[in-house]
Amino acid sequence: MIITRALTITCILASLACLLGGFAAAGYWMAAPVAVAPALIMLLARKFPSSWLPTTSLILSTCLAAVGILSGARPFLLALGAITALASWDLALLENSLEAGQPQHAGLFENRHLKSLGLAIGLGLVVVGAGSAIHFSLPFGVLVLLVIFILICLDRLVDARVHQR
Amino acid sequence: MNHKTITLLLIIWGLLLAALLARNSDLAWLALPFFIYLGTGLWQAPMSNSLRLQATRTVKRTAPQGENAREIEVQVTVSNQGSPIGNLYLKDVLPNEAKITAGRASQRTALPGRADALLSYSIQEKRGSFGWETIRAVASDPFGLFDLEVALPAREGVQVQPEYGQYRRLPLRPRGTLHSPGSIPARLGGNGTDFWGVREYHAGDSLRWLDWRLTARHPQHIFTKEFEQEEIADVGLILDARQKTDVQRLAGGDSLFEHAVSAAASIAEAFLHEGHRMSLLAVNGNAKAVFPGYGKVQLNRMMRLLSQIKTGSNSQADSLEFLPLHMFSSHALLVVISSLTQNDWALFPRLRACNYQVLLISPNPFDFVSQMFGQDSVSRLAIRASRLERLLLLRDIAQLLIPVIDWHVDQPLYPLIRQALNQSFVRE
Repeated sequence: MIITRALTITCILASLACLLGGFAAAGYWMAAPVAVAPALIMLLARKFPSSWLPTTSLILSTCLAAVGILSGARPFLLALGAITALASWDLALLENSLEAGQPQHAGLFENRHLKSLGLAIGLGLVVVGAGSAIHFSLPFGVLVLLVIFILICLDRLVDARVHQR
Repeated sequence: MNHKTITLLLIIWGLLLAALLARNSDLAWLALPFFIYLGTGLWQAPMSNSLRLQATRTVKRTAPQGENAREIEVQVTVSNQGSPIGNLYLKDVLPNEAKITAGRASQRTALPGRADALLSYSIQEKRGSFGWETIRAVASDPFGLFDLEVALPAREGVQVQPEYGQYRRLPLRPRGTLHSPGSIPARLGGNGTDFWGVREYHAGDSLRWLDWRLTARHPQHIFTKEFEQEEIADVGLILDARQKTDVQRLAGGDSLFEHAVSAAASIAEAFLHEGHRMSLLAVNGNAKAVFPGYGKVQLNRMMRLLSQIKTGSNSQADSLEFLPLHMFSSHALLVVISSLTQNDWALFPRLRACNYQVLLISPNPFDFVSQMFGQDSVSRLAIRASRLERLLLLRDIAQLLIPVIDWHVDQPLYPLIRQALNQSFVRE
């Protein structure tokens, strides 16, 4: 429980730092106060975890990262901000279920969750790192086809999984 | 799909769409961590064929039946016979109107293979029969993205009996008794403790009971002392469960009928404990009966009916006048528990005509709901008139030599029954 709490706050602060750093590096000082908003919302969400505040904070962070990337800021820091926002969203919800449910096998529940989260976030960081290191350009048509392919795969995968169960 | 999954899918699709519209590949890269998060959840989501959960339920009362037995402790053990489940949400479906007093009826937990999860809570239930069928189990991946919901069968039932008081011995003196050894003086000579009379010796009489003095005075004759036989009584309970005779207090939802049921349960327990034969007829539009019987088995039968009985109405059998009395023997003592309406008077001449001994316990509805009445002059006059009507009805019934108890339900019933029975014996 303590680990989850510490990790939540760390991730909130890391997200804030990354977003601020991303905007500051691009010289968008005006965007800095807006970048603080998701962190504040997430801190507030820890008091009202069953509300829509954690989700709002995640969407806001992702939107800020997307806007920053579109504005020409460094994508690595902003993507890092989005990833840590995703982690803080997940951890805030985990903290809520641990507090509200008082699970019997709480240690196991927390460990499995944190391991899975570590795996997902670690892989995400690797992908983002690889994306910032490797630069190649794709024709727009190929990109469109790739996105459509990913969307269809995603849809089919979720659908198949749901039907299989 | 739950709201977490929907949020992630919206973010991924939004980012990919924005990447397409803006022709920016970095945005598409930004969607990948979310995609990986979703994929990790999907990879670890439980499959229906690997889910082997079993649930067992135990239900027990925290107090013996009748004595504040409405607190029920429920324990549900869910055991996992399959692979470990990272995220399992258990929720028990409560019976109607149940109020949890301790513990929780839901829990989120992780369940290793061959391990158990325990769900424990206490509920407070009203009188009645209640049953649990299933427990809802939602297994999902550690992130809680892809749910697999199953209903695990865990059947159990519980019967909440009406509260009843432990009455001491009631002074019964019925006109007729059943020829089984009991505690009621039967007005017959035989084996007993109280002296009854003397008769001529019959072959087989015990020599211990010879009246030596009388025998000495009458040569050639031998006399034997006789004692009053003690036998059991036959008691019938008639419980009025018609909706029109029930009233409810607004505060707390207290019902007059519940008091009548408690009184019936107390009387049944007291008489059966003394060894008498008892039967029960509950009238709620339809007649529901427990035929005459003895002992604990009969008490259980009667308590079962008293637990389940609800008030009801039937326009075709709205009066007590045509009650099916054939289930009661002709020498039975009938205890009628009813708050009565004006049309019910006709029952009592009929009971007397059938030569039944009758005791009427009438819970007072006006006293019960007195706080709900308006204080204006019209209301007060109406209440006064109704009280007078009721008083006259009870007086008419009393004139048939039927002991009547006008019971204010906040008063203890036992002394009133005792007094009424004593007075009726004196009168007879």
